[in-house]
Amino acid sequence: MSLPYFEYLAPQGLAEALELKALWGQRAAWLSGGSDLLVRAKQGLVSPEAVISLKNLSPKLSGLREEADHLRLGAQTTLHQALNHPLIARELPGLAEALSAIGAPTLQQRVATVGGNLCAQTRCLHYNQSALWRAGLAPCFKLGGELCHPGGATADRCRSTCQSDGAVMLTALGASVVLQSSAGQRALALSDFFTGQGERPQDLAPDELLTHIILERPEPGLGTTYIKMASRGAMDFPLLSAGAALRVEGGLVTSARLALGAVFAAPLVLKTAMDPLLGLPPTPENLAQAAAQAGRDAAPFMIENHSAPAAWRAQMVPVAVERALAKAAQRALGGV
Amino acid sequence: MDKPRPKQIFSAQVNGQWVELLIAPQETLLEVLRDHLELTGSKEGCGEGVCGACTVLVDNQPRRACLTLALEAQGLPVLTVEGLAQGGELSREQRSFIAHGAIQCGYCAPGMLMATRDLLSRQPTPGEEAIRRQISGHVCRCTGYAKIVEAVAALGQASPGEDRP
Amino acid sequence: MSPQLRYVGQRLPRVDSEAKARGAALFAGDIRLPRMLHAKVLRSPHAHARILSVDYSEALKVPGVRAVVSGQDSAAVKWGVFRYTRDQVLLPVERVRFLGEEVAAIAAESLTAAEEALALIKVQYQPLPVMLNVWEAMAEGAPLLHDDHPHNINVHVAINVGDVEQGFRESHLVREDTFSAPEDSYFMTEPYAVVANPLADGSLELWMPNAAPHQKAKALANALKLPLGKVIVRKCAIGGAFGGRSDVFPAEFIAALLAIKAQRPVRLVYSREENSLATRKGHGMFTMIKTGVDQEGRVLARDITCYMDGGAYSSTGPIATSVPFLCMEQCYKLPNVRFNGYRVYTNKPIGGMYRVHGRAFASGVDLQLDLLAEELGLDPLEVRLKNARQAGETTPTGSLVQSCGLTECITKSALAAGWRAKYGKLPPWRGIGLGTNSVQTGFPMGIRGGSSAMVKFNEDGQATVISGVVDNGQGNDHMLVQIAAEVLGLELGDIQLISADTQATPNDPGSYSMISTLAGGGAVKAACQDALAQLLAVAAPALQAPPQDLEAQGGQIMVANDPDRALPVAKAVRLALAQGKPIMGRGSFFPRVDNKREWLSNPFGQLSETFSFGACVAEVEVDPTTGRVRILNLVLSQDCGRALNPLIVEGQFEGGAAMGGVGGMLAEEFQWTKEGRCLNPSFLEYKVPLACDMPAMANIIVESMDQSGPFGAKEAGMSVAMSAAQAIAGAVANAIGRPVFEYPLTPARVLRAIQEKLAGLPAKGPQG
Ligand SMILES: Cc1cc2nc3c(=O)[nH]c(=O)nc-3n(C[C@H](O)[C@H](O)[C@H](O)COP(=O)(O)OP(=O)(O)OC[C@H]3O[C@@H](n4cnc5c(N)ncnc54)[C@H](O)[C@@H]3O)c2cc1C
Ligand code: FES
Ligand code: FES
Repeated sequence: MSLPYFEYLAPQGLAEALELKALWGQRAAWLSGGSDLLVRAKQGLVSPEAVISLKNLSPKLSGLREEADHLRLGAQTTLHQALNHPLIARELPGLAEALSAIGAPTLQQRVATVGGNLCAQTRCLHYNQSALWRAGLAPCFKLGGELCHPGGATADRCRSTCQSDGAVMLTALGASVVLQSSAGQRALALSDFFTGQGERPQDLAPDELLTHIILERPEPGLGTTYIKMASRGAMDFPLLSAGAALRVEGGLVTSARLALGAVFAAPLVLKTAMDPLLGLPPTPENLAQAAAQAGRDAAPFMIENHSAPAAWRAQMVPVAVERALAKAAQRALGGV
Repeated sequence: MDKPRPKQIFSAQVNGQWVELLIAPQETLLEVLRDHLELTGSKEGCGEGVCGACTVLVDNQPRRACLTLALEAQGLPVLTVEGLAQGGELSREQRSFIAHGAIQCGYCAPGMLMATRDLLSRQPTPGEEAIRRQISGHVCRCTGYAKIVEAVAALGQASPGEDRP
Repeated sequence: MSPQLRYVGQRLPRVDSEAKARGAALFAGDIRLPRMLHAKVLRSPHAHARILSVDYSEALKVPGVRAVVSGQDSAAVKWGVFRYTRDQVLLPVERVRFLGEEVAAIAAESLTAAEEALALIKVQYQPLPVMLNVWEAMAEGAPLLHDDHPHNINVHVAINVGDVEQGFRESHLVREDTFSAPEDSYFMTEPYAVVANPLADGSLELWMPNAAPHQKAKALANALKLPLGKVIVRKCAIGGAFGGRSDVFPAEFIAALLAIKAQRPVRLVYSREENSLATRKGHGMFTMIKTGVDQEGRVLARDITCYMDGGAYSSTGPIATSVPFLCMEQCYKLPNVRFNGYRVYTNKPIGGMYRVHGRAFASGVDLQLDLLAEELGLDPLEVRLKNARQAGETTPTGSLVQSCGLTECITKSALAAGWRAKYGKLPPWRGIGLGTNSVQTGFPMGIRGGSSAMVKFNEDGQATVISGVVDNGQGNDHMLVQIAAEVLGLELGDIQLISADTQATPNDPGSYSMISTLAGGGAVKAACQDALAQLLAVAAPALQAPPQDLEAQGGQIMVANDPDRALPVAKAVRLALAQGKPIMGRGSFFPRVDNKREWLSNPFGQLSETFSFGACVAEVEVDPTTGRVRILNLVLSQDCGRALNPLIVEGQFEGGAAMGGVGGMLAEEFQWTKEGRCLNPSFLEYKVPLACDMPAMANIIVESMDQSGPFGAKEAGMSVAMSAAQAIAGAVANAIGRPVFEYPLTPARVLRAIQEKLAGLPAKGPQG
């Protein structure tokens, strides 16, 4: 399968990169590992006139820096580097789990980047297909059309979902991102960065580059985990996933964040289902109640846009959430 | 073709030899290896990053050649399956795959061998679980993976099953 | 002859593996010829449409375009495996019947130019109603995909042996169940590719992954109206077939037409998606099974009706419709049996033979037998043993089973898996299951049913073997070389192999009916024995011993029991040359089958000369909250006659279990949109198992030493693929305490069954 023609630009430094992007705007695409971008380009889902390679920026934009009250993760950090970083492996096992669940070692962990994972497109069984597949088919919302194939006649918007494992877990961790352009820089919580619109899933201006991910320093009593449900043990995007970050202090839950993947165009943050946990001990009954509420909250989002039936995926929401909460609580209490 | 489509010079050290050629900027490393350099050992099984048959090492890191622009490998060492044997002598990975019957149709073998080289370079005695995990990014439709796992395990002298639950 | 075998039974590395390990083996898509053009195919975006017009005038103007073909160039040549199934116009003129069907093609100097030009071909379609399953297609008033086939029934196989109704009346217990599964697919790692090269003398050379070079050549010669000798199918490395490379595809016809038109070599390489849609796929299936047993669990009668979704054209339809039934009747004693198999045309890609063809058939037969055993309070293992085929018996449709190690396979697998300690005694949500199966070694194919081989000795004492057998990856090349080395007393490295090249090699049926070892190996063995006899005759005077006292070993001809009297083979060869009697052996093997047997008109008589048998025991654990099945262990066994090379046999077992069992029973299925688009033609969404998904496997090789097979060998690996699927289906039913009737056993299907059980609902099969 060959790629359509585009120019290849490999700026030497950040300033040059941002200037180039300001110049090309939407006509150019950033290229990190390419494992999302180039597949879509081959399928004709995107046709950039130029790609701007970030390879020369990698040394500056990768790695984890510990600062006074937070962690700074370079967007160009490969999944492999990130999940093997001692601090992440030790104190944020949920993030390590999410990143190691992406694809498989030789595809993802040595090439694909954390930034690329956050900026990857939402997906749909009816969108991530070839030109032959689309021939004779009206374009869907995500391709600029006016319908959603799995959504059916009543769908008024794109129903593609965020299947980026890293994005879901980082959202659960309450991370934010630093976006930079030649005009300046802004920070955005991931819950704002992800727009919830399948047509345009990230709030990222054409001239902006995601340079860093900012994470709160893991506090004592924090337990994190990531549960991924997929058909195979590797090389599969999630059919459903749950990232949980639970903080337990003095036997009581003081913070409970949970995000679902593969359900909505953004990682779906289940606040109303988690809030009742605050101030309660993380007993199996309390967690099960929160999980049941999560199931009810997520149900309206389920449609036939994945390879597993929506009915099964809906049933799996409380299961995945309960498992994620239980594991996170166990970790919060000092278990592994 | 309204606009000119300028080509670019690509140079890299492929299997120990410097090569320099004129390529289109959107060409993948797989196209350059197979079509320009006639190194057809690396295979295209899907072209979409899934099957792993196209895997080569770029700067000692495994890469899906089908999803890697050749220009991303500019100036770097590239190792393909053709470069494993040294002076005609098969590499130990190749010998082990042959001896253990890990090659049936052989279409997955180039990628599997490169994944093996990568794993052993980081983890000289991987257990079965680590081996399975490493090669889980590579589809083999013939062997059921058992003989491939044995072939890799034999290289690390770890016995199969050691770290499997 | 030497009683001591040096190679047979040894674990030998394959002779072809070094080239593959080096990346030096050339697959069709690796071949590049001087001045070669690159081709691309334009495909129908509709699952069913009338072609109103095709206009490629603009495409011709694209710089670099050298040839274009469409239906108008095809002379409406029709292809069919049988004379009576010629239903596929290789480049359709009037109608397309599935999404992805070939409409036109371009050859250009570069792929880019070909792609650009493709976009300029204007095709006008008039969409027609789409039928995407057998029920829609058979419905009253449904449009006909092929006018001469009422109700869109492509093939009807009807078999009725004994008195089924009487058998049911005599039965102590009768059950009726329906099983179903959607299409599965091959997903061989190599996508399809063809290189066609027109030669100066008017002949045409071709390379493509194929399972029968001689059959491809014959069909293409007919289609191109060329003499058979002018269509040369050459050998190349092949990245797996599993049944999916067996018959003739438009790809080679198109590549040939383009090459002839442009008078240049043309290479056409399919994308993964094209390989999925435009070669072959498996059949979707509904199977209604009714079985009656006596009090001891002996089957007295069985009645099966099966509907297969065959897709748009016949392909190997009559065979595909029959084989699941035949495997069953070979495996089990059946005094009274009736079978009605219908293959139905639908607007889907073409269904072909598959290594694990009929999971919703075979698994249903075994599962139902388990259910009957349970109702009778019997151990399913005992019931299987009671019904298991024995050597010397004749199948309902009249095949004598000359060798059969089925009972040994069942008992050994059960023992190794600890059946008696586990069946009925496992903790909750754990289960154990048994699958048994049998496959053919070849079919009656008339004049094309046999294989022939030649062997010539070279001056240096080495030998060249010439055989039509093709290697799809399973190790046939090695098998031939090993047999030749064994017979000729040479090293493996002393044998050169010329094979699967229709210009050079004699006819062979092809490697798709599990016949290669029996017929191809048998022919090479005979040719080598012929050459050896010539060699010994020449050596006898020199060694002053009668030929029958001589043997060949280690490159020497020696007098038995007197190793001091020896003559190097090279010397004997030269002696023969000096006498004007060059050593050239020939041999052939034509299986003893009933050539009057015909798939539809006369499905009776000897089907294959011999049959292989296998059994698998699976142990699984089911997560009752998700429905996910984890396979804990698979014990694989097969009576392969004799394991010529256990290393290769084990590889066939393990690969078969991955494909049929782990993938086929747990995950693999095509999904479709209502317009007939395949939702998962890719490796990403079609879930072939990965290394991390595979369970522990144990192999048990059973050897019945078949009287006709070379050194006793029959076939290896086929029956394991299916019996693994059957075993897993049984184990899951055992684990959750109720049968599941729809396959594959994805978490969603298993969970639904568990929940229906907990809700006290009856277990019921799929609704037609
Ligand atoms: C076979 C296969 C399996 C996969 N499995 C999974 C999986 O299980 N889970 C999963 O989450 N993902 C999976 N992926 C998707 C993908 O590999 C990951 O999302 C990966 O992390 C993307 O990183 P990348 O560096 O390769 O991104 P790229 O493809 O380089 O970039 C992705 C997108 O982000 C943009 N971009 C990249 N970097 C920046 C930046 N710094 N600032 C702004 N925009 C940027 C690009 O223009 C592009 O649009 C899979 C991909 C393949 C091919
Ligand atoms: S061809 Fe590159 S991963 Fe399949
Ligand atoms: S050996 Fe055929 S795909 Fe691995």
